[in-house]
Amino acid sequence: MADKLLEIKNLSIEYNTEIATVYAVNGMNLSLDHGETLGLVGETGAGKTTTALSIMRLLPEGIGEVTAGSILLDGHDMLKISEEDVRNLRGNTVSMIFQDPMSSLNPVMTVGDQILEVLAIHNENVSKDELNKKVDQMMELVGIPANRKNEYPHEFSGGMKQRIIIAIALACEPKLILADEPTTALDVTIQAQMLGLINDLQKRLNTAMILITHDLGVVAQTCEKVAVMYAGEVIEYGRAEHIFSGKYLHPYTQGLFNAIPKLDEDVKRLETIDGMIPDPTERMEGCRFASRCKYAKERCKKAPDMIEIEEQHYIKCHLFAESKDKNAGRDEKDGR
Amino acid sequence: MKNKLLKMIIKRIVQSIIVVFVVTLMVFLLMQLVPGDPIANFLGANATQEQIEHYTKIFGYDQPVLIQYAKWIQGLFHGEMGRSVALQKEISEVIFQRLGVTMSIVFPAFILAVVLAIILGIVAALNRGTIIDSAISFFANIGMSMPMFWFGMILILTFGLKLGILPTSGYVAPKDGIGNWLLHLILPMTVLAMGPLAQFTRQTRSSMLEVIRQDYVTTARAKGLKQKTIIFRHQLRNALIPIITIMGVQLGGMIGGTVLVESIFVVPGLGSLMISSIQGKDFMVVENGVFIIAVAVAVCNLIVDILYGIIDPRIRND
Amino acid sequence: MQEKEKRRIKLKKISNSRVARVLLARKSVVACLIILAVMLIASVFAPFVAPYDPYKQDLVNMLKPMSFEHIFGTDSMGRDVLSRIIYGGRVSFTVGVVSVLLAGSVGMMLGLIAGMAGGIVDAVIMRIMDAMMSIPMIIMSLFLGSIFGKGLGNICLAIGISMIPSYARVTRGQVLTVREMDYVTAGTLCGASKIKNTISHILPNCVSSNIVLMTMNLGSAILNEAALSFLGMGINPPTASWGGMVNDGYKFMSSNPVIAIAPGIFIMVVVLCFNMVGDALRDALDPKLRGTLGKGKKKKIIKQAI
Repeated sequence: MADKLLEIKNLSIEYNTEIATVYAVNGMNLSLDHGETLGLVGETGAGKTTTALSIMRLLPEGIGEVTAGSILLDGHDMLKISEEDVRNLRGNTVSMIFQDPMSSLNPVMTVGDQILEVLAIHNENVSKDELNKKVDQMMELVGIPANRKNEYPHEFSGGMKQRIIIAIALACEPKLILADEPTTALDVTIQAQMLGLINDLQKRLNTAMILITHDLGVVAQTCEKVAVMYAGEVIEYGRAEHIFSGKYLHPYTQGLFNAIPKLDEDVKRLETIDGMIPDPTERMEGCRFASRCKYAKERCKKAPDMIEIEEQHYIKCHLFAESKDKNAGRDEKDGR
Repeated sequence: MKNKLLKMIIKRIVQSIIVVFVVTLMVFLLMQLVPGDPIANFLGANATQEQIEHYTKIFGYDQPVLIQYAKWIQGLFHGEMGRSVALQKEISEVIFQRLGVTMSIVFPAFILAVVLAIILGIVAALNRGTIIDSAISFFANIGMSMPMFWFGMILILTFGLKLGILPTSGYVAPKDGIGNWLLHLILPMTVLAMGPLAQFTRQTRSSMLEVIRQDYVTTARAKGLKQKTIIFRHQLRNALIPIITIMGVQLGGMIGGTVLVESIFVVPGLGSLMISSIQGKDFMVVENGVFIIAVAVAVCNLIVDILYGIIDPRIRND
Repeated sequence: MQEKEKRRIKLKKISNSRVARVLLARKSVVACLIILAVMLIASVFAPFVAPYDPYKQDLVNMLKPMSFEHIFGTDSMGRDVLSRIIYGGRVSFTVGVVSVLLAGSVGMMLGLIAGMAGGIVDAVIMRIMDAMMSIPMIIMSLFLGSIFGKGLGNICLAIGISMIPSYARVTRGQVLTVREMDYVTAGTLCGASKIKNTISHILPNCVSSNIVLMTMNLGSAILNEAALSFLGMGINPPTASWGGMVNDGYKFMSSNPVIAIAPGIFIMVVVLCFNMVGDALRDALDPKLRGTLGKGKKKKIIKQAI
């Protein structure tokens, strides 16, 4: 267990405002090995971005607050260490690729300077020449000619900007990248390119990655592990092949898969999951998905536990508790 | 890159020349509206018919309006504005000397206002919602609403008459002692800087708060930069852009404000020259004065635009 | 058709009340509105409110300090300062409202013409506006005042004209943006003439930004009038005006400062109130700021964060 890169335990995050308290993340658990790629899937409002921001301790100040749990990143307790220590980790050990390349670059700084900046802050002893060389390298690495480093963000296209942002994120060869929907703002043709690039660089630098997305296709393409988030908690976690095989699936994940249009079937209407994500300003007892779940029963008023349904495949649902319980019972007997 | 900036500057220069030209036309036409004969007005009720005719000829008022205008413009190209009877001097000489005095108040006051406003604006934005923020915003609102002449009067009352630590009137040229010059400048500068200081402070505060919410600031934080670096390198440079856009207007306003400041503190600048000429119905000085002020404002705006082009790379592409 | 008309009126009412709600939610704005209302009423009903005749000279009682009889003392001619301040409010409010209405209506018209006509008409109008703007407002109104002469009407005219360019600019900018909007194109496609389009689609869109500008300019018009009167080029004495009163009191500042300070405070308070209301109105009407006000602001941040 010691060699886990990231371990999130029982994490809860609230946003406090004058009007209401929003329970964005509720008792979330997640872990990640070195060099591993995890797809974090879920619909808007599930708490994906909040989780990512909390890993870097970048929650909006004075509003977002971690109320419980712990985040261990590369042996550092992210919620306890000093602000200076966090700064040293940001950009260096963990970095983030943001959703919207259009607004994530400073419009009044050359792109070269913006890459140089992150290198300079984490490599104080390296000479300026060497840092500049590294900037050129990074730009070439993401496929932009180094001679364009004196240009400003507005002179680049959206895809190019995202390449620059990737260069910034990878410049210090971090151990973990948090990619927050890195392709949603881009054209479909560029999406694939960008994913390929990120994947390629990640393999080359042996970097772990959490890819936040609501696109299961993207996950299938790039990720080894998948975590499905719903209303602030992880309801299913497992290896990508297990999840995509579809043998055991949480009803919500099932719904997500059904909502994908299939090429080989003639469908008139796309399937949807009925209802809405529960009101995040209310604290909930029991299974959060129950109100939308077609298998919902009386027992769902009690919160289900995480069950390992097959090797390294966990589901948080009462449906699987029965079969597992029998197994568990048998195990117990055998044990005696 | 450099070429784009140069192109922009040239474009702006051409625009300013057109504007100044329209100003001359406008001022000249408006002067035609002044009721009565300008010479008779100027000479007063006791002037004889002969005197009036004599001066009308000297000043060329007997010629057609268009010729008069052409002559004025032609003179301006040669730096000649004619002679003022009341002042017994070449108008251009007086105006440029007065302009120097005025600018020696306007520029330091402007710089004072900008620097102080940026500091106050940042402090207010960083302490948003606290008592510091409220205090700064309150004073900015007061500063914007205060009549300039009244504020000057209160300063004279407290620092001059009650405390007796600062001179309350007059002007000393820098060559007669820098210290003395500065001492005489303190009060006029403070009064002139007050309004723009308030405006810039409000603008800095609001645009800093606007910028804090931008994605690139989150990017900067995610890089592990120090708070100070984020504020000055990322936030401030972007927040400055809207401040620069109001700088031109404020500079113009300050040049106008010298009319009041110079008359309160008895400074022999362009503003007080305008007042005395209007009161003395010396319209030739007035019309040339307005022209020079328009040129000064155009030049200030040009400088601001260039500054804008340097700070915001996007503007160079237009 | 009637149904539609009713719905339109209803919608309008909702949007107006929304603005009112936003305005009234700020305590400072409510305070400003009350202060302005009190001052306006006092100056309109000055003969009933003022304790003394503002023009009655009483040389025995000149330059009296503050007292219960004369709250702000008496001036160099023995006139009650408070009464003169109450009467002076008439000048300030009149100049403010008249000059702003003048500037607003003429400026808006010029901006509309420039924006709709384009080409040479646009160029000529806007170059004149640029030229007017390159002369600082106070110099412009001084200059115009020197041509028109002193007096209330002329001062309103001078200050009004000097404020025209900002309205023309704002309106033209709005016209250019709105003109490209799809619903205007839709109007054209339905066969609406240029003039009809202008009146039914473009004009209403320009009004709100001009109203904000007008509210904000009320303060600067009043400041400008005060400055002109202070310089002795505004309202003719003995008519009471706040700027003129400061000028009168200026000479006696060391012996009796209150004569000059009191009217200045009134100028400041009125201008401050107009500025605050203008700010709030801008925030309430600016669609860009919608949803970022007060409570909504944090909601938006949360949405982004999640």
